[in-house]
Formats: sequence, structure tokens, C-alpha cells
Amino acid sequence: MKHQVLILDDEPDVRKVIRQQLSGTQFEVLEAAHAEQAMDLLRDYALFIDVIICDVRMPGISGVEAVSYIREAHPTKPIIVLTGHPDLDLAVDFMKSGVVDYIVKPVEKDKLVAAVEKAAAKHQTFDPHDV
Amino acid sequence: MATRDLGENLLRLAVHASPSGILIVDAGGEIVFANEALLGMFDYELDELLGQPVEVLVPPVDVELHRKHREKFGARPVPRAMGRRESFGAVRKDGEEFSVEIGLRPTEVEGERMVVATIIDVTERRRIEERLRRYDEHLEELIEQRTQELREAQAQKEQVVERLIQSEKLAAIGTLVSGIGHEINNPLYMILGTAEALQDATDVDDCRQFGTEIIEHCRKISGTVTNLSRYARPGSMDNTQTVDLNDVVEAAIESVHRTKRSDEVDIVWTRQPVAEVPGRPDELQQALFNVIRNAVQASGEHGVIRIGLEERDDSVDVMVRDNGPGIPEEHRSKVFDPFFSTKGPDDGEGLGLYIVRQIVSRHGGDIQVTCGEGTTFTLRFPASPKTDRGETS
Repeated sequence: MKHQVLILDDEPDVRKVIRQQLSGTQFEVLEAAHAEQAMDLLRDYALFIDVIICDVRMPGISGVEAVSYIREAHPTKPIIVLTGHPDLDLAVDFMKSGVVDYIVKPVEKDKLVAAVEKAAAKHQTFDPHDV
Repeated sequence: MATRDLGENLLRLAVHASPSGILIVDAGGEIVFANEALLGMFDYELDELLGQPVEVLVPPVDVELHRKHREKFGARPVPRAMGRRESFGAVRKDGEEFSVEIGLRPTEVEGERMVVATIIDVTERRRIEERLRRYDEHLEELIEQRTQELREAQAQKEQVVERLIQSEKLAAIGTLVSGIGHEINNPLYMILGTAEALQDATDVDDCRQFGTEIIEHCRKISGTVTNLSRYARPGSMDNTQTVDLNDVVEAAIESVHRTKRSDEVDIVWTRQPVAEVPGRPDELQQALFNVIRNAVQASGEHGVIRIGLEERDDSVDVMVRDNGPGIPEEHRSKVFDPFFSTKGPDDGEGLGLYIVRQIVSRHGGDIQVTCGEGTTFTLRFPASPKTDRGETS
């Protein structure tokens, strides 16, 4: 079975581009437009989701809060933050909180795929929290 | 009452009963009389003073000077009243010095010139005066010190306010930069992703579709930059017209009705007779459109938006009230910042209220936001001068 990547981004066009960039790779994509939806998908497909790509600036629950919720419920799931706004302080905070990568849009396909592959490799095959 | 011939004893009694010291000195400066008060003041017995030079009562250091004054006075004797607040040094029998005030009255007794001196001890008064003076000085010092403290506190306060203003400005710039990053990098990313897909595409229709999408994203970036640069600097207010805000509101509502979700809300409004305002109709309409559309987005389904116009002394208010959940306290000061938005990507890029504030401000007006039941935006514009309105009584 292919690896699953969960995209959490409120903009459908951004989700579409990520899907396009990951097409033809070993990864399949699940999409969530907001944090609640992402948490639902994580609950239902925890065993199959290897990497989460998360936006920062979103209405309602922001990316910062979403990362915190996901880290709490699924501490070993690798999270890549993908943002339009480069902010060094924010990047440091995210990395400290356990995020595996902080990528600034626009990112080219090769770089994104490489980052997702690297993150997936870090994901343990067995996560006691995900059972 | 007729003058009575008071006996010498009675006069003597009166002189001795006086609380002031009385001293009579002859033309040669010898003491010929002293009353009891004076004897008590200088601590002498009468017979110790009679026949003595008056300088016996003067501190040694002033003796010479006193003699000269006395001779000068003798040459031109004129009465000198008490109470001129001028004090002199005096000395008691035991050498203790003290301050006195002296009144002088030249007179003649049996053809001989004499001087009657009235003397009061002002030591205590001087001491009180000195204490008052010191107290006064202390008060002045305290006032000066307190004033200095207040000045320093005020300077510190101004520094803190300045720092706050600077940090607010920095925060606004942060919001701006973050917004620009978001609003430009996102469509750039979409352009990049679509261009990558275009490279791999073989189907002509797919290529056309990708091309169309790239153009759309380019237009979005261009629109953001245009909006930002158009309203970021104060524009010229030449070519203003006299505008009836009723027309502006009506046109703005019509535009809002053409946008999505506007059919989910009721917009309640009736024309009001108000003064006209000087302005640019297209900009005013843009401002009102943004505020009303914002209210539509805030209200959600079954929302009700009430729009009112009200004339005040020299201005006209436009109030737009929604029945949405209101704006959290911490967001109220930021709603007019560029790119500040709590809404989703389909509801604009966060420049709407920023543009409103810029337009209102360049029209010399003011915008306020208040939250009670829902949110009310009040746009206040200066009215045209009454003479321009052809007002009738």
C-alpha cells in the first residue's frame, strides 16, 4: 500500500498543487481544509498516514494550534510545515515543538517530494499512540 | 473729655506698665531713664544704667557704628517709628546678644534735647521668621524636587508611549509582511506547481487549462499589489464632488447583492435626508461596499444587516450593524491593519477594512468599530459647508 500524506491547508488550490506535485510518487494524498477535519482523518486513518503537511495561516484553528494538537495526539507522526510567510522565530518554535521540516512556498516539486520522503523515513512503523 | 492733669506718679506707673522697653537718653548719649520692661529686657537694675552711655546696651562690635548714628541723629533729629521690620543688635548685662526693634522720638525737657527710645525684643519673632524662611526654602526645594520628579515621570511616560507606538507600528508592519508573504507566495506556489504540471502535460486541453490557471494566479498577485499600493499612500483629493451618501449606500448594497452569500442575509435600510459630503463617489462606494460585504461575511445565514444614516453638527455618520458574533476584544485594534484576517481564503485577502480606513481617512473622516449585539462600523464624514448646500430655513 502506498504511503499516505495528509495535507492540512484551507486553500483548495494549494491542496491541489501539493497533490499534483506528489502525483507519480509513492505517496497518496488525503486532504483536510481545517484542523478538525485533519484530526478526524488522523483518528480514522492513523495507521496509514505517514506524513502531515500543515499550513500556518488558516482561519479558525491556526497551523500553530493544529500542530500542537497533532503532536499531542500523535507524537511520532512527522509534520512538515508549509507556509507562505517565512518567519525565523516561528520556524525555530515549530522545529523545537518537533516539526521535522519548515518549508516556505513556493517550493519546487523535487524539493517537496524529497522533504516528504525524508519525513516518511523518520516515521516509525509502529506507534503505540496510533493503535 | 477734657485733658486731665495726671499726676507724675500716674504717668510713671503707665510708663513702667508698658510692655515695651522705654529708654530716655540725653544729648550726650547718657541714659537718664529706663522703664521696668527695659530693665527686665537687658537684665539691669535702674541705678546700674543711669548715667551710663547708651552704648552699654549695644554689642561691642556695633558700638562705634552706633555712636556715629547717634551723633548723626542728634544733628538732625527726626522721629523714627517702630515697625519698619528693621532690627538691631542689643546686649544684655551678661553679654548675651539679642535682636531689638527701636523707635526714636526726639524731645526737649526743660530746654535740654533728649531722645525717647521705645525698644522691643524681637528675638522670638526673628527666630520664627527664620524658621518660616527656612520652611519656605524647604517647601520650594520640595516643590522643585517634586516638579523634577513629575517632569522625569512625564518624560518616562512619553518614552513608554513612543516605544508602544513603535511596537504597534512594528506589529502592523509584521502583519503587513506576513500578509504580503501569504498573499503572494501562495499564488506563486500555485503558479509554480501548475507550471511543473504543464511541463509534464501532453494533452493540449490540459495545457490550456494549466495556462488559464497560471494567468488567474498572476492576476490575483497583481490585484493584491494594486490594492495595496493604491491605498497605501494618501491620494490627492482633487476633483471631489458633492455626494449624497444615500446614493453611495444604495449603489454599494446593489454591488453586495451581486456577491456570493448575500442572499443569505437581509439588508435593512431606508434613505434618510442628510447633508451631502465632499468626496469621490467611486471611493466612497468602495468603502461602503467593503464594510457591508464584511458584515455579510460576519453574519452568516439568516443574518440581518441594518444600515443607518445620521446627520450630526458638521458631519454625517453611516452606521453598518450586523448581528454576527462580534469581534473579539484582542482583534478590534487590528481589524484595520492590512492583511489582518480571520476569514477563509474565499473571503478576501484581508485588505478590505484597511482600504475602508484609508478611504475614510483621505476624506477627512473617521471610522470606529463597536461591539455589542453584533458589530457596528460607524463611518463619519465631514459634511459640505452649509452655504454649499443652499440650505433653507
